[in-house]
Amino acid sequence: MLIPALEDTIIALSSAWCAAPLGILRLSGPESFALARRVGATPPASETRGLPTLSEARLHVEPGVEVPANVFWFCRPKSYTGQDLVEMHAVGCLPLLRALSARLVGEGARRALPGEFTARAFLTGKIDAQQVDGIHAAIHAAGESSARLAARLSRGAHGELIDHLRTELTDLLARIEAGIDFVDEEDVSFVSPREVCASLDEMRARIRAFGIHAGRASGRRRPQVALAGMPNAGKSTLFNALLGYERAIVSPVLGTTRDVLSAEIELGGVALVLQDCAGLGESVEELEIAAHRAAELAVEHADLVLWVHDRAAGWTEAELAACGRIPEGRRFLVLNKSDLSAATAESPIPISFVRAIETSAARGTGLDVLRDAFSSQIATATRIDDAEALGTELREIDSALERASQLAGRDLSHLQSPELIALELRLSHGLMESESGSEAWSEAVLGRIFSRFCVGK
Amino acid sequence: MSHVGYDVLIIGGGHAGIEAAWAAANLGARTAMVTFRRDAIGRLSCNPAIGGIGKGQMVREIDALGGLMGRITDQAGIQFRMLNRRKGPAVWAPRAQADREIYASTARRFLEDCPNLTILEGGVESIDARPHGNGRGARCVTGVTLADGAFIASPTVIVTSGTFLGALMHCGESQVPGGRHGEAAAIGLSGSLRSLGLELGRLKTGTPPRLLRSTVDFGRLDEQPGDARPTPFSFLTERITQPQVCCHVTWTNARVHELIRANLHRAPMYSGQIESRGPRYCPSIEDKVVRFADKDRHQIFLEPEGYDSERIYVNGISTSLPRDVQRQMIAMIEGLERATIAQWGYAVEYDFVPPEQIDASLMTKRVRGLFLAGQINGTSGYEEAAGQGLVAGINAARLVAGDDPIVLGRDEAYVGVMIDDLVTRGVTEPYRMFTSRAEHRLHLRYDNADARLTPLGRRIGLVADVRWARFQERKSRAERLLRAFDSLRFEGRSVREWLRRPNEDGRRLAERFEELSAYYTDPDIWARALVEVKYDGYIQRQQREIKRCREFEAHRIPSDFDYGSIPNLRREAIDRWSAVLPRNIGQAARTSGIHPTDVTLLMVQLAAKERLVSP
Repeated sequence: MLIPALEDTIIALSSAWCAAPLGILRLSGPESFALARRVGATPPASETRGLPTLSEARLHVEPGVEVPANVFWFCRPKSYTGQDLVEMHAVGCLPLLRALSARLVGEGARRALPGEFTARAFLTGKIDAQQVDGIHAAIHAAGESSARLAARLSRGAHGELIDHLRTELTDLLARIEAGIDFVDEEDVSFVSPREVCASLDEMRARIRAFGIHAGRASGRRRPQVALAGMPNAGKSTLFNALLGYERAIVSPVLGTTRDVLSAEIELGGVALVLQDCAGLGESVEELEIAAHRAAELAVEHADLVLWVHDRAAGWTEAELAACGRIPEGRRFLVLNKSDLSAATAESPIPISFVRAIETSAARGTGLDVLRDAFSSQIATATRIDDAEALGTELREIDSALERASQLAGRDLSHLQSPELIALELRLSHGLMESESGSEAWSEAVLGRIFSRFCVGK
Repeated sequence: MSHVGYDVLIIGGGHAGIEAAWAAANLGARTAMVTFRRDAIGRLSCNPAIGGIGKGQMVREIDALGGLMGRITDQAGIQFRMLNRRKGPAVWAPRAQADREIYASTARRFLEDCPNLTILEGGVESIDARPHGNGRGARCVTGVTLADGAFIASPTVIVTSGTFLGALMHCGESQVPGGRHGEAAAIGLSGSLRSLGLELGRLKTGTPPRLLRSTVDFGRLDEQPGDARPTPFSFLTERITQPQVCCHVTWTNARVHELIRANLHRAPMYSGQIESRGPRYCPSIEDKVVRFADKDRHQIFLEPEGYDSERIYVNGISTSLPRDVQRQMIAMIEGLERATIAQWGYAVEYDFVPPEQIDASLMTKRVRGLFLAGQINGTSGYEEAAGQGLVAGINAARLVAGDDPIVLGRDEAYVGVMIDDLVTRGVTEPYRMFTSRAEHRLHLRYDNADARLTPLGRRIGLVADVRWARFQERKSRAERLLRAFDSLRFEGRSVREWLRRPNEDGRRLAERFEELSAYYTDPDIWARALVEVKYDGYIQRQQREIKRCREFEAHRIPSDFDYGSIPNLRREAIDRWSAVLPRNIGQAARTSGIHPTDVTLLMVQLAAKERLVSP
């Protein structure tokens, strides 16, 4: 049962775009300080009650993997939620942060429900009672947004995996529960230890196989920003500049066709994708095709498009036509190479953009402005901390299934401790319970039992 | 008009009625039980057995609170078995075959000897009520009117009508009004409940034929014995001393199935004569043959109805097929070829009150003082009925005394799980308990029912001194045993360490150490200690979960709260909550169709109201 218990210590991962892209893990609740300590953070020696304090830490994600972070400690009641609250600010590398979040959940934190931090701030009296309507609206919006995410996830490979796991789990659980609740019925043997192990192995193999592709698959679901423009506008240099600046991880080159190159970097939950068209000749016709194609790809894949234009170059019909294909609310203009063309007269921009930003990729100027500009835009369009929803629960499910497997594998001649195996499976089942309500799983399990087995006298 | 008056009046003398009457009277309420026939009190209308998985735990809970069912069963039991012995002690469950006559007479004797309790023979025609409080159609009970016109005043009435409400029995094409073989139906009461504003639904259940014992050829059938050392149900019973009997096992076969298929058009469930839902977990033999067509045989238990009874209950072939088909069917079964049918199988359809109309105290939301318990709430089974009867009896007496009702939590008792399921989710078929319905199964055990509930029973005044002393004695015995697990060593390890091993049930250790052997034969003490050792980490996990849930159960929602006043709440959530009227946040969260965000919105609104009212 998912209920917003105030006594639970809750965790949420959100990505913020401030001066630098950061991932923020936020813990709130009575255990938040203890949990932060357990992953390697230490509060400053003198705990100044009342004032937030900062410490630096290397947080243990898993053996051999650490992530540097700034940790802010807020003592109750002087925090946003009015409870003890810890914020861990780390580089915006989502896979690492998800793993850290999963570890904290394993230690006893619970993933926050939509709008739960805001609700806590209200429930602890940090927000004035008069503002209750605003609070309701915020919680409602968070719920809606999370339902949209769930719907989006349910369509892709992740959705398929969850569907498969849910079916398999319900089925296996039904057979184990039947073995507990119907003992001297018929001559039915509901499930053997071997079958339990085989089913659990199959589910775990699926989760692992998905994990390998998850990075790639999830790229599709994160907000995406595309860099597009005419050949030689400086896209690659700009991309590399951002890359160097962030020291982020470059995913393998996705495009494999000879002439279309696409690369992706992940910046705190937002994927920045370079749509480049390489190897094209110089003829006007070929340039037109290239521009057209870059725009098309950008529109298809990205939430926002940064159209890179060489400040020194003029606007051709081909470029205007390509640019015009991008919906107006989604296009940003990047006027690049401003250092080389400082002397060039300002030429009017013949097509409207949400905003125009000047950069010099080579000198690294204007990059902050650029990032702030599109991050504020994208933040209003999508909820970046939705990205947390993917991946974390799979780890928890996998460890519960592993424990179940160990229990079942103890004695292959006789299923021991079915009540404990069932406990682990129920836990996994609960983890998959989405926002779409919590219809009692026990009904699903009983339904499966009665339709499959002749039980009852 | 008569001037007789009571505090609590119970309609019905079945398993719900017995517990309700016993509890109310023992809590000091002037109590009356109105039943058609005094000699029909405590009848086992269907199978002559009490307990089973999930159900056995409930009997222990009833007993731990000070109820009767366990004590009656310990006197009437003729074969005791502890089920699930090969699995972990968390899912062990006791079951007993009972002597039908002894069961009923024991129940009657308990009630007849009970102070404050009057048993009246008669049929209730109507429940009377008057407007109450702030108007808006709210009413409160004033008493009941009997078939002979007599009025009996009582501010609380508990209806435990079983299958008797508007009941119709089906046997093949024949349909006879009646709630049980040879007994009349309660006809007027349904209309009375409707006129009080309650909605009624209809359910179906069935029972198999009974055979004459002397005509069954047991010699060719497998025996099913009870436990060598029977485990009592009641915490008050020292040991079971009466002799134990055997059950026998036989099977249906392909010929029987063929016969049933050929006559399906004459089965009321298939001919359309019965339209109401029957339980999926208790399928008739017609259902089994149709739905599991690939099985060429189904198991049948032949259960004696008592030491001296001439009747055998044929467990596994509940049916409403016509008599001639039943006769042919029995003659085709091994060992029953020459058997005489003593009572035909039949199905019974009856009215129930969809349980969203009661709250967790079992009082109807619409009529103050009117309580419902047992099959009228859509459940099935003696134990389910008894559990509700006990709660209704306690709460009716408390209402009269001006005390708050007791509500058992899902983490406290199977009885609590059942009532919570009923009031928050409703029923689509007769509701039976399964352990899979309980999220805190490791905690809701047979062995610790007294630890879970006896202190509560003591607090409300239902647990007498004898039971209380015994409870404390057992508690200290369990503690002593746990200490022995630590202090005794065997081959370099403590007993506790040995018991942690998955395959170790402790028998050889108990045989070796005298300090342990005394406990090994006392399953509740042994199981309780064993559970604590074996499930250590799991129990802690479950305890944390229970602690969380408690908070929500404690977070009350005012009964006049307007769900429509919550900004941005989904329409579906408003509708569901307005129908169910949850008492607290926990129940609100469990209501079917509710999303977590709805609960967050509700909590914020409740807090806002409180703060705006008392800044």
